[in-house]
Amino acid sequence: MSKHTHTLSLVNGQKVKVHERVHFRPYMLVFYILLVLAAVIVIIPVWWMVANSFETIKSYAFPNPPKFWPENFTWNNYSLVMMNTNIVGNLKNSAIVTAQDVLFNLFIASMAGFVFSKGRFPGKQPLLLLILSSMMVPFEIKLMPIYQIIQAMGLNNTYLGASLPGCLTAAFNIFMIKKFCDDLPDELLESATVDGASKFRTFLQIYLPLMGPIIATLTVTTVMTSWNDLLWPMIVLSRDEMRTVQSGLSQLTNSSFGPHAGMTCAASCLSILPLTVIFIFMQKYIVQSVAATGIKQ
Amino acid sequence: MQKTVKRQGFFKKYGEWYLMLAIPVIGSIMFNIYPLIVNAFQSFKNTAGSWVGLVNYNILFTDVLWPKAIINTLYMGVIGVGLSIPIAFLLAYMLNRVPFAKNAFKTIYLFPMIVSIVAVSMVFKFIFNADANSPMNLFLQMIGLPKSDWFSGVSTSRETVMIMTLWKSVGHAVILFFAGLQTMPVELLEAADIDGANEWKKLWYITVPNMKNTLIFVFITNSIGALKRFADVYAIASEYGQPGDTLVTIMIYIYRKSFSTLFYKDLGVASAASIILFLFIIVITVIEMRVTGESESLISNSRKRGAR
Repeated sequence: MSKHTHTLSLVNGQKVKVHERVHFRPYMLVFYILLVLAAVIVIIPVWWMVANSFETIKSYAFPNPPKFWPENFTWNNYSLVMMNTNIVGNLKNSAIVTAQDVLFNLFIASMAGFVFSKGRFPGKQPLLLLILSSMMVPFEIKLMPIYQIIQAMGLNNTYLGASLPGCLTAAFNIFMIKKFCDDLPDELLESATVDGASKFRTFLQIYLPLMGPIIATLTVTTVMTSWNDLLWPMIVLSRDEMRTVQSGLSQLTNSSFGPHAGMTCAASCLSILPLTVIFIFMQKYIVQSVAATGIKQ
Repeated sequence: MQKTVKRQGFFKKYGEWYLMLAIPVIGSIMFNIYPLIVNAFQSFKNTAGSWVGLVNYNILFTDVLWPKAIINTLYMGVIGVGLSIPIAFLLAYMLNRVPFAKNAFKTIYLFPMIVSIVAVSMVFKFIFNADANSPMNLFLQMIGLPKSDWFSGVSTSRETVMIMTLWKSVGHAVILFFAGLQTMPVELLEAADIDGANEWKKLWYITVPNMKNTLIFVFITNSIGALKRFADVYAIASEYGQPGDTLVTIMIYIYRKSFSTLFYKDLGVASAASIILFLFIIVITVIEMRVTGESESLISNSRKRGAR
C-alpha cells in the first residue's frame, strides 16, 4: 500500500525505519520523465557555458548551432580574461566583502538575537521593533541616502563601506537567531549570573557555542546573498580596482564594444566557481538552509 | 542622592544588555530610520535643496517613462509569479510522490540560485538571441514556429526575461514547497488512495488546501521581490531598459534618476519614486499580515515571546 521507501513506525516507543517494497505505479514514470526534463533544462545552460569557456572561439559571437563539448580544447579564454580584465582582483574583492559580511553580520546578529531572546530589560519590545523595521523597508528604496551617509563617512570605495549598511542592520539574521535562542534553556543564563559571569561572557562562552546549527545555516545564506549581490556593491565600489566580481562581470558583458565571446564565458565560469565548489561539497546543507530560512536573493 | 543610586542600580542591572545592543540599534537608526526620513523629505525638495511641495510627484507622474516603469514591473511580476508558483508547486508535488533520487533533483533545481544573474544573463542572451540560428530559434524552427526576437523584441523582451528568472529561481520555490509537503500527514493521501481518488483530485482537494501557508509565503515574498525587480533586467539591458523601454522597472527608474551617468539625474524625483515603491510594498505587507493572520506575523510573534 505504501509507496514510500521507508516509513517511520513506533516499535517499543522508538522510531524505527521500516523498509517496504516500492510498488511501482504508472504515474511515477510520468513524474520521473517530467522531473528529468526539468533537470535537463536547468543543467543545459550551465553546461553550455562551461563547455564554451574551453572552446577555441575566434570571433565575438558564439558558434551556432551551439556546441556542448569543446572541439578544440584550450585554456586560452581563461588566460585572455585574466590578462585583459581585472577578474582576479574582482574575485579577491568579492571574497573580502563576503568574508567581512559573514563575520560582522553573524557576530552582531548572534549577540543581538541572544539579548532579545534571553534579556530582561525595559524597552526590549520597542528596540526589537526598531531593528526588525528594517526588514519592512527594503534596502532598495534607501539606496541614495545610505550612499550619501557612506560617502560622508569617507567609506565609498572601501570594503568596509560595502559591508557596513547590511551588517549593522542584520534584521533578518537577528530574527532567525532570536527564534533559535528562544528554544535554548534560560537556566544557563541564570546559573551563569549566579556564578558572577558577565552577560557578554555568558553569551560568548555558553550560548554562542550552542548556536552552531543556526549560525551555520545563516552563514550559508549570507555567503550566497553577499557573493551574488549586484546593486549595492556596484554603487559603493565604483572604482575599477574595487569592483566585486558581479559588477566587474556586468561591466564586461554590457560593454558597448562587444566583448570576446570566449572571454565572457570564461569570466562567468570564474565568477561561479567559488560558490559551485561550496555547493558541491555542502549541497545537502544548502538545500536545508534554504528550506529553513526561505531566504531569497 | 537617592536618585543617583537608583540610576546606578538601573545601569548596573540593565546596562550590559543595552551595550550589547548598541551596534544594531545605532545601525538601524543610521541605515534604516534616518534614510527613510531623508528620502521622505528629499521627495519634497528640488535639486537645490529648497522646499517645493508636491512638484517632484507632479514631475514623476507626468514623466512618460514612469507609468511604463510601473506597468513593466507589474506585468513582469504577474507573469513571473504566475509561472513560477504553479511550476514549482508541480515539481515539488511530483518530487514528493516519487520514491528515489529526491535529493539529487532538489540539488539540481537549486543550483541556478548560486549562479549569479550576470552570468545567467550572458548565457541566456546567447540562447535567446534574435539571430535566426540561435538555439531557441532553431528549436522554434524545428517545431514549425516562426522565429522570435526574444530579448530584442518589444513584444517579447519582458517575457524572455521572465523565462530567465524562472530558470534561476524556480528551485528556491521547489525547496520551500517540498519542505511544506513533507510536513503534510501521509495518512491524508493514503486515505484518499483507499477512497480511490485520482492524482488530480488528491492534488487539488487535499494537497493544495493543506499547503495554504507555504503558498502564501512564497507568493508574498515573490511579489515583493517582483516589485523590487532590478538585477535581472539590469543584467540584460543595463540601465537603458531597451528595447522600447520595456525593461525599465521601478527600480531601474530610481537607479537612473539617482546614479546614472548617461541620463538626467534628479534626486527629488528619485526619492518620490522610492516613496511610491515603499507604499506599494507596505500595501502588500499589510495584505500579507491580514491573510496569514495576526498569530503568524512577525511582530505579534515576537510580542508574544517578549511578554513572558
